Amino acid sequence: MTCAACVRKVEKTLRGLPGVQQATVNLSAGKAGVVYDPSHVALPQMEQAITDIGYEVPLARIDLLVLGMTPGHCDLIIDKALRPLPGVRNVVVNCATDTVRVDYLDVAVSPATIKKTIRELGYEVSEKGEGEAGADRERELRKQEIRRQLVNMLIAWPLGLIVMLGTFAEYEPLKGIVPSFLSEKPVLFALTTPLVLGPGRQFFVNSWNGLRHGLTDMNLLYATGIGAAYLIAVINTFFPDAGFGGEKATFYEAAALLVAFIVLGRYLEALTRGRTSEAIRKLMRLQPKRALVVRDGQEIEIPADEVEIDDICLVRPGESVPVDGVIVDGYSAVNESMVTGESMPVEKRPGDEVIGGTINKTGAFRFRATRVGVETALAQIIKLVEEAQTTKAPIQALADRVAGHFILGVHALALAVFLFWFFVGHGLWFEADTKLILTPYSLEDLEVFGFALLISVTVLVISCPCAVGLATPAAMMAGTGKGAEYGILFKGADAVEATSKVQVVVLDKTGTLTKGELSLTDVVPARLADAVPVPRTDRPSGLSANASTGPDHTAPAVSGSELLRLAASAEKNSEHPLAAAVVQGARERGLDLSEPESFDSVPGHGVEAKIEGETVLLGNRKLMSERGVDTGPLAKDAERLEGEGKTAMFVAAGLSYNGGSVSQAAERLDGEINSQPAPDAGQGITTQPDSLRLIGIIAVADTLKETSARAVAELKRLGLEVVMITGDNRRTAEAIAGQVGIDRVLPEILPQDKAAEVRRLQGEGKRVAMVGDGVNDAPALAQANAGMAIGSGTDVAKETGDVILIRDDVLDVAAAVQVARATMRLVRQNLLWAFGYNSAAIPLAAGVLYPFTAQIVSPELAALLMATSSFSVTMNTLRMRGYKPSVKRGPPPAKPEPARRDVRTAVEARS
Amino acid sequence: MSAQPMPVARGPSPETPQRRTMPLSSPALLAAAMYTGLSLAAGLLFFAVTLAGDYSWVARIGGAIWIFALCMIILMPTITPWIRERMKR
Repeated sequence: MTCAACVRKVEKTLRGLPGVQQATVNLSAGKAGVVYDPSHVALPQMEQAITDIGYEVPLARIDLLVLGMTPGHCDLIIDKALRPLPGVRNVVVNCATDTVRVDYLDVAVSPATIKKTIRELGYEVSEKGEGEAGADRERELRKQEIRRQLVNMLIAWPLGLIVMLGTFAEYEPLKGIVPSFLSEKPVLFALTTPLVLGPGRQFFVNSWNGLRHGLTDMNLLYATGIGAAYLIAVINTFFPDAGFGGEKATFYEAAALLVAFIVLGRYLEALTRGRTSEAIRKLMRLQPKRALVVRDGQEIEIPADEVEIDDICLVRPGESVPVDGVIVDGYSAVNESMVTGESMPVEKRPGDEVIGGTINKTGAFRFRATRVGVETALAQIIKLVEEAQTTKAPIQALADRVAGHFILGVHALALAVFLFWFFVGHGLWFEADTKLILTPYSLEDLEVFGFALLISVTVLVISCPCAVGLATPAAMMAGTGKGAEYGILFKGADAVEATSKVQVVVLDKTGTLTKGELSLTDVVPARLADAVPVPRTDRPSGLSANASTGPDHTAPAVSGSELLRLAASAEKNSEHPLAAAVVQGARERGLDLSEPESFDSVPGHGVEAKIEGETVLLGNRKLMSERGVDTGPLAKDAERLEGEGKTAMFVAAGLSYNGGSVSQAAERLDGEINSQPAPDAGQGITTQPDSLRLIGIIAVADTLKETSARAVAELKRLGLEVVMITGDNRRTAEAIAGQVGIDRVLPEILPQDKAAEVRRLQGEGKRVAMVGDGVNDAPALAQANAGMAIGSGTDVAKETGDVILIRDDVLDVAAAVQVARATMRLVRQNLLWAFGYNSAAIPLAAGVLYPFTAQIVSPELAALLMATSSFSVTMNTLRMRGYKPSVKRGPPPAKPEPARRDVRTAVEARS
Repeated sequence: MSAQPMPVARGPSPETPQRRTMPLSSPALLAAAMYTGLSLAAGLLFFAVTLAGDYSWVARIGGAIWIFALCMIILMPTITPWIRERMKR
């Protein structure tokens, strides 16, 4: 809202809603107070009404650290519990990072209510802090969780092992070794009960909290399994004749080891969970704590977060650069590998940028702080990676759907299995010497109910979908962290997936394949014979013949330096890179440039300027053609230059141009023209004041980056089609493409048309990655399946695109594809592990082998298998820590042939 | 253009928890009645079927309780959102 009209508009809209009695809008506060009848109107309707008239009701956001979540189902539980809260608009739960992000209307619900709701579900919740303080808090909370599970382990395992020894005390080889009193059922009861009610209590409490909200989670699976085993054991201890198998079927060890294995799984998970985000923690550790600043001429040491913009900071050898800035004094080499992935120290001189968190290696220097606090490159990178890690990849949708319905499915399966073994299986196949797999335990006294219940409970325990839920987010976290190590920032899990799937990589030429630093290479003046006046209408056909009898027509029309001076003067006020190169070239040669009297840029084509009273035109063929200048005489020169990968610009000047610097030959030409007899109708020369003549060509060229050719080769090796897109004409584009090994070029594409070209490639059924400048190529980056902004440097926050490559190295494109592919490979492996485990374990637990082996899986073995599956997924993910993209392992790239940069004047070129 | 969240809402919002926990006719109670009833019916059906076979009383009663418990776990999160959705419409 900007004015009183906005206020009236919002008030009127709100008052128009049914049930709204009063609406008062405060412009300066940007708030609306509403008195309404809640039975007629609700907050979402008011929000919608305000949005409909073009205003926004901003949502608040809270990031929470929630401990105790197990992947697969907890995310759904928390999501289900939070969404019905008034004002909650969006919930994103990431079990891999233990984070919950909630977007909410802060007048409708408070953070405290959100936290309380999660706490009531049985989780530990705290607000996620920012930066290092947040990381410290997170580390502390993780330590607490590890300690809690360790205490549970220390109780569960000794007791569980004693219970197991007691249970099997009468079997070889324990017979005679284990004290016989341990096998007494009341003793086993006394040992198991504290175990179930102590470490096992969390499962009952959490599942009850979930059930109270009408939600089920995997704690319920554990609780059902442990509870059933314990209950049967208690009944068989105190009521042995009840028919549950009697004293020989007291499953105390099942209940005890079930708790022990599940607690072991939780402990290992707590231990390894944080390690997948090692990369981000490494980045956080880089943030310097102290800074040496010069204030009032004094060097004082202050906390790094108190450095202000424009403070002069002093950095000595071996110290960290405290914040981002620009060197004002001194020289050094700085190790930036931790931020940009650049392995070699980078030399820094006055005027160069330094990045906070990097290490100064050799000399001391002073720099002026330009970005501090959360604005520093390091803080932005950390934030970006953290944001990426809270997103979900499309592939995760499948895992989420499966895991989401899994618990119910497993209970339904347990029901079906129970009914089957109760009514059919037991009667058909039950044998007296039934054994539990890998135990000498005989179940001869087990009746039909006990037998069916045992199998049913085992199915519940073995089917835990933890691994399914953990598979994708854990791998994504490892992958995005690994990317950050090499200066490759994926903006989300979807960006990782999209990058891994690309088939075509479109590389923008300028600034991506080339350094984007144009320099002057050729100055080619027209010959006298070429520099004929060109009226807009018919041109004299007999001029050459006439001219041949006059002055030397092979002599240059203007001198090389005069041509360059004219061109540079015309370009003096242009901001185009081509113009900068021409002006720079002229200045390097000591030419005095004239101030243009007028200047007009023709976007995508060239410029027109008035120099010393005369019109000068500089640009491409199209511009010349539009202004009636024949480029034919110099066409071959232009083609030759373009064939060398240079950009040729034609220069034309007004007919009356005869300024002091024009060569005598040009003057002679002028004289000749002027001396032409008045043309006859239909064939003569009309010396119209705006007629222009071609006076030469100026050529500039960009330099290829050292790694461009290798990067293209690497991309091809990865099976990708590489395409170059450029505004250059086809000949120039193909020449440059040929130098780096690109087969397909999209030439003469104006900046605004790049997105359409990407769309056209997508129309061919290809998944396209566009690599370019994050600002100028933003539409094309947005259009591409994976937009990669290259060379963003340290200002990552401003960049568009799905992937941000901090370094200006096109080789990182190949590295990004490799990291993305490795991450997706890990996701697939993890999902295979997880689904494979459940696919194999569930039928086994359901007793498919029983008719042939007379053995069934015990609940404790089921718990061990279940814990192993989650653990194996986590361990598989940790392999990513040692991953290095092959392009980063390869030999240093050979120096490619730079584009020719020798400047030849017309005389030199023609001699 | 943007506006700050609307801060004043006198009287309870229709979204507030108080309003959602209405007695008797609330979706939660109706759902509870439904899933408990269905689970009981399943348990009783199981019990009735076992009467036709040669099963011990422990098996009959224990089995019926187990069926009831599993049915409750399955039906509770299935019926509750379904009823809520229907009541909204």
